[in-house]
Amino acid sequence: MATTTAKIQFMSTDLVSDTLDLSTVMTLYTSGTTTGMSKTTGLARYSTATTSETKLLEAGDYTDSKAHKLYIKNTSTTRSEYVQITTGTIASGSTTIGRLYGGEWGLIPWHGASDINVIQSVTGITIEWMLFYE
Amino acid sequence: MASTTVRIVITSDITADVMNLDTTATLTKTTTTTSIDDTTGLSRKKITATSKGASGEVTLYTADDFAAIPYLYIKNTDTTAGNRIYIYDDTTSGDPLQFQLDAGDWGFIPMHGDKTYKAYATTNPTTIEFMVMGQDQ
Repeated sequence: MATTTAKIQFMSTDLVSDTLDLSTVMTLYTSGTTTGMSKTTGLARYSTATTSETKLLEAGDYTDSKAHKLYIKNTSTTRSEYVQITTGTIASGSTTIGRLYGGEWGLIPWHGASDINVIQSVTGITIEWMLFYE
Repeated sequence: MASTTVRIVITSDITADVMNLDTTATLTKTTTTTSIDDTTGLSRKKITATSKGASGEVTLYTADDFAAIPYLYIKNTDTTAGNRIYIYDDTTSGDPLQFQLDAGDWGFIPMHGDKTYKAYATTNPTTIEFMVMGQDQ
């Protein structure tokens, strides 16, 4: 059985009056089990020549209501360049989940029922992403 | 100036060779290099609602409470497999499901900040930990 862990660590010297150091680790299991997640897309790099919304993940390719995890990073070193993440069908209207500005990353628990799309603020931004799925 | 960072380390043997991914981002006010100032602190609440809209939901974030972009950390602290937390967008028509956290799962989402997020669970009670960081407004 494959073992995949993801650790997150927040550190701050002065966001609050005492130093903040918070970390936690999760093991990626398939939904409702203690069986390790066994599939991944691998770490991909994606960029488009458009600032229009484009599809990153097709919901139809994955089973709904599962414990998929999407790691996604905006690799731009220009702070103002963003990647907007949306969910839903582009043609019929999607909704925004969030934005990654230059250098930021997110780990999104994705249920697999709706497409994941991206909008780049400028062309040429490279997005790194990886899906762990079942 | 506050200096707040968030690091992720993913380790996996799914592939034939062990994979290690390790990256850190500095959390700053949007489009600047000025670090964020505000946080809700780490909250811990029991979710008692077992369906969308039921009494006992927990509101994780209220739309426009923070300036864009607020960062949301969420964790399902339950240890029993199958005890899930569902988080939905209470602002958009139809209240679409946004995230599903199985027992022990966490997520880190740089939000747009204009949607209210609420949580319900499969089991009453299920404890969620969450924190919003950014710039209060």
